[in-house]
Amino acid sequence: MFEARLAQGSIFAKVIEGLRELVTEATWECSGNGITLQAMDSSHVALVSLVLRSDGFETYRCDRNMSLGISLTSMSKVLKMMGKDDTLTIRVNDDSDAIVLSMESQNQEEFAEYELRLMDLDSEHLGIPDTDYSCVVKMPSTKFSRICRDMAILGDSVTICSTKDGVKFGAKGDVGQGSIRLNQSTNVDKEEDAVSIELREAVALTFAVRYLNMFCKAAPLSNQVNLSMSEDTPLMCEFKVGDMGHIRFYLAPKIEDAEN
Amino acid sequence: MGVHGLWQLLDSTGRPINMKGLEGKILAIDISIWLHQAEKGMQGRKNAYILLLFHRICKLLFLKIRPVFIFDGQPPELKRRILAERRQRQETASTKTKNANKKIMENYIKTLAIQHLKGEDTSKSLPPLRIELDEKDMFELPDTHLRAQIEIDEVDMDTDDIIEKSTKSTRPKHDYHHLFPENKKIDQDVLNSLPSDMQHDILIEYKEHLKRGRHQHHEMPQNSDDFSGYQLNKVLQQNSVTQTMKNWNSTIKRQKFDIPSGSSDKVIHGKLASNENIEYLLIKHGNKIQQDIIVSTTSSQIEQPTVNKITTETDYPSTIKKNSFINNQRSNETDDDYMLALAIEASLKQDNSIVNGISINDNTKSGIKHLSVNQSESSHKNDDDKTLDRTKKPTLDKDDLVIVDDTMMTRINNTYEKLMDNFENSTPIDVTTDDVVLVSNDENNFNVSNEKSTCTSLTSEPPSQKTTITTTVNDSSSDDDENDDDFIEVPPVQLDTDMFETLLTQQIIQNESSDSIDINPTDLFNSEDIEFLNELPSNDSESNQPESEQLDDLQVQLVNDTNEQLKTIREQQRLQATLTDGMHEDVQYMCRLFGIPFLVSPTEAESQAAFLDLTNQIDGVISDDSDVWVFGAKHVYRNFFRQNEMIEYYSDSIINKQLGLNRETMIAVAMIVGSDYTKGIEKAGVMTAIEILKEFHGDCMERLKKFRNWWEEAQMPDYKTKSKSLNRLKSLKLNEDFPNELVYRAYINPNVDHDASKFSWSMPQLELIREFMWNKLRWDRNKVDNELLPVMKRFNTKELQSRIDSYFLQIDGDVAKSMKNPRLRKAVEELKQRTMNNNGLILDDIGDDKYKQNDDINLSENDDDIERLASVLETRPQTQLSTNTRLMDDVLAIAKKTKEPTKKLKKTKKVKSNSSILAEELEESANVSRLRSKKKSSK
Repeated sequence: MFEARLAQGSIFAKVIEGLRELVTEATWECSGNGITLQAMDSSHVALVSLVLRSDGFETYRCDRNMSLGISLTSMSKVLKMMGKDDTLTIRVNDDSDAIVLSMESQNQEEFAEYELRLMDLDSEHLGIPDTDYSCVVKMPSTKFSRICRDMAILGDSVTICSTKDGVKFGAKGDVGQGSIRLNQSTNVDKEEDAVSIELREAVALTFAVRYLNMFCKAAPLSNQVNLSMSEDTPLMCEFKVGDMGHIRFYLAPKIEDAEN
Repeated sequence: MGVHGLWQLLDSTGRPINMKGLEGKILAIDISIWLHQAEKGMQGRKNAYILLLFHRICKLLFLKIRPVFIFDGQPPELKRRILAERRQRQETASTKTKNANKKIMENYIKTLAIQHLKGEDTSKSLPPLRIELDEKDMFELPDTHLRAQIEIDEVDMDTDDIIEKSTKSTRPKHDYHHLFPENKKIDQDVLNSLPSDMQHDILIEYKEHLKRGRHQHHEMPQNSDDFSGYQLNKVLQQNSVTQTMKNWNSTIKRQKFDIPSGSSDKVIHGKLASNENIEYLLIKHGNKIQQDIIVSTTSSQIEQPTVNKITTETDYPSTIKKNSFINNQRSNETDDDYMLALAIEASLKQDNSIVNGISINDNTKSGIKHLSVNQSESSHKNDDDKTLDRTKKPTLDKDDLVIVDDTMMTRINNTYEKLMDNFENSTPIDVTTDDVVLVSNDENNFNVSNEKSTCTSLTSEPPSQKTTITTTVNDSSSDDDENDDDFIEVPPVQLDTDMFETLLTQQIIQNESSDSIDINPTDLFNSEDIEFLNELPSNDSESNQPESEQLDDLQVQLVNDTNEQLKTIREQQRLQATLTDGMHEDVQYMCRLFGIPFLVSPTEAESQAAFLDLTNQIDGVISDDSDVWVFGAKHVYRNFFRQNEMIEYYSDSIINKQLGLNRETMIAVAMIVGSDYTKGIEKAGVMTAIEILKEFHGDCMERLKKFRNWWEEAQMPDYKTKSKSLNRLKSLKLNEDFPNELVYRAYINPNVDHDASKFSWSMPQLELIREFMWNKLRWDRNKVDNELLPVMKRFNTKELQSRIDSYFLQIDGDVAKSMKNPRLRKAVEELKQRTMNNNGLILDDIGDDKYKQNDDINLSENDDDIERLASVLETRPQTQLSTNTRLMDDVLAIAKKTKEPTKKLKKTKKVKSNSSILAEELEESANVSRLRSKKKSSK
């Protein structure tokens, strides 16, 4: 028996929204500590790792470890039926091959229950090493979303250069080229609007902007995004999920074609 | 293809992968599969393989995959068997097509006849002409208005030798060069006044004269500046002579074939590939509907070429008459070396008959009721006996006279008899008939029906000393026609002629390529059809209303039949499709254009691809052929060219982890179930293979040899076993040579190119590709660019998307996708268990051994096994001595197995299947313990 209750169901819905563009189906690993999910996109270019700690839930019960293969596409559809302030309960009964999503309206007048069939999925786990990144950029997630959207207009890939002064996003394409440069904010009124750069080493990496735009689907979860980069390692793009966990996206950089 | 059912086994290990994630990978591709797919799957299109290849190459390059194409080489010895089988299939297919083609032809003619009977316009029902896209000549000039002219000239040049031969052979050669004027110019008028033969000789001489430049020394300009002018003059002069010669050639030819020099007729000349001595000349007349086929036969023995002209005309009757006379004269004139012409005549007969049929139909339709069919028919050895023979032959098949009413029938018979009398008397007699005159014999003579009046004079000449028989059916009704009030001018039915052309070209094409679809004309146009054809119009004259219904039915029947035949043809042609060397050349040329490296394998492409993969020269193989596994491939991408973006990725490590299969075991599976190299065991599928592998251990050959030894023992009448699977295996029938070491060696050590030099890729050559696509598929620049430019753009980007799993190490994942077949799943899982336990401790082997001991069969090999085991099992001394310990071990093993499912218990779905497996295993172990207790008691 697995049961987890979340007072703010919309957080869970946002998590699913953030994931479903990149991966359409994934295996949820449920244990006593919480829910984790790791999945690669179909091209094996990006990877997402989700952690939702058990203490973040209102109630959490997990009798034994479970792997739940879930279609995120259909789960997202179901969660769209949920009201903004509904309470969400996720339940998997023993000997059942379905996950039950119950939604309760705030005034407790409405109670909806949906069942989603579980799937058998291959789960290929990658060991993500703890990396000491050369550079960590913190910026408002809305700003990051906007930049990625704009860069996609110019080209397929975006180059992120970070120096100690600031971070520059640049794209080049058929129509032309362009770049956006963000400087480290000096005086911060609101913490969520700040741009901060922790830099040990200057870094320049190129990524497929298509993927960055997919990551930005998770931006509503958090005001700030952390971009961690090192040369020749995947970018880590982290959004906090309230104070219960995080979504981390990893994206393999584009490299110089050795053959050409 | 490949190992039968191996994919079924491996299916569950496939991982879906987006093909976009393959950027920068070097993948080997067996090109022959593509070519086969194109030939079989895209029937009816010309150069389908180029289309397919173009699209696929573009796709690969767009995905930034670096392809390496591998071509098949010589098939290995072992594959001969399967190749022979395939050839057999092709042959049967070709005979079927042949028959179907025949049927269609018959049906078509019948339909045509019926339509005419019903007064329908035949032009509507004609099948659409297939536009043949001709292979473009390398040196063909660009398409300008001049080209048409050039074409004719070229054709003219081709026929030169015929004419030259005839002229040269007939007259002695004169030396005219003393006549050549010093002033470089031949007076055209003077030349024209000379006889044409002389003109020819003079021109040739003059041309030679100019070429050799006999007059060079005294004409050379003194001033070096004038030299280029002098050269130019010389060229111009030569050109004018050539032009004159060409003109002469065409006029002489037109003279020879009675074509007015002013007409816009087109002359097509060619050779029959099947007979080097036969050439044909097709004269297409511009506006008139006249078809002349001139068949010329040249033979080494015969000095003088003969020209046999078969003229058929669908025009006004008077012209027909005239032509027929010309025709007859011609055939009389020509010398009697028809022996060689006979073959071609036979093939032309059918065409002739079609045209005749049409002419009959046209005439009937317009109400002229006049038929003139001329038949110039000559045979080399026709004597009186044969004439008689012919007349005796039954010509009217009762079965085919369904539509002809009885009175008609008798009339026909009467007339026929009269005619026969004529033949027998061999004297020309004028016969007057009321209604129908019917002449028919098996040699494609035609029935002549003439309703309107009249006198049919039938002239049957007795065999001349030249043993040529000419039967002329001469119609004297042309005069009547002019007086006839009902006379309606026959509109030229262009389409009919077109159809005839098509048929003719088809026929010629068939002859040229000596294609398997060889329609035997005598078969096809047997007397039945001809009668059928001819009876119909005559029946029309009666115009019986109720018959039209019958006709409708018949027509529907025919159409249905034709459709059916077409279907068979299509199906059979698919089987027949073979690859040609030309295709391989084209494909290799394409590879060069696209800058893609390719390799020709010494034997099979699959083995070469697998070798490259095995030696890490490439990153994987794109293949749907399970053979690659037994050749040792490590990474295989399957279903690459489906519409879907997702492809399946298989890797040897996943297979090994998930199924416990490796190359050795897969070879063993191949040898059991059968593959391209071996027939395998009869009725054995992957299930049986897994069961055998489960019971017998060791490497591939060891296993199979053990199995064979056991099987031989098991054939003894006193052999008994409780094991279900062993009982099943016992009933198999092994071939004499199973297991064949040769097959094993062919798989484990295939003949491949061991060259390890690096592959390199280059930019596609856009301009050449455009040209190539235009030549082959008539794709214009825009169409090619639409496909190619995105590819080029991608090619130019220097960035390469790396993959996340190249940075993060993969941790063991769970396998969720399970095999559909529960029995197979169970067997595979057991096999996996056993292979895992295989390193040393083989409880199952002891188990097997125990069975054998039980049955008092002592297999020496298994004794060895025990000894080997004994040494291995030092950690557990005396395992095989004490049955109790053994029992304990079994229990342990079972416990171990039960642990496996508990691991998976988190997977709710899994639990059920695992528990059922568990139950079965427990049952089996119960059996085992029962056996043991029995043994104990016997002790």
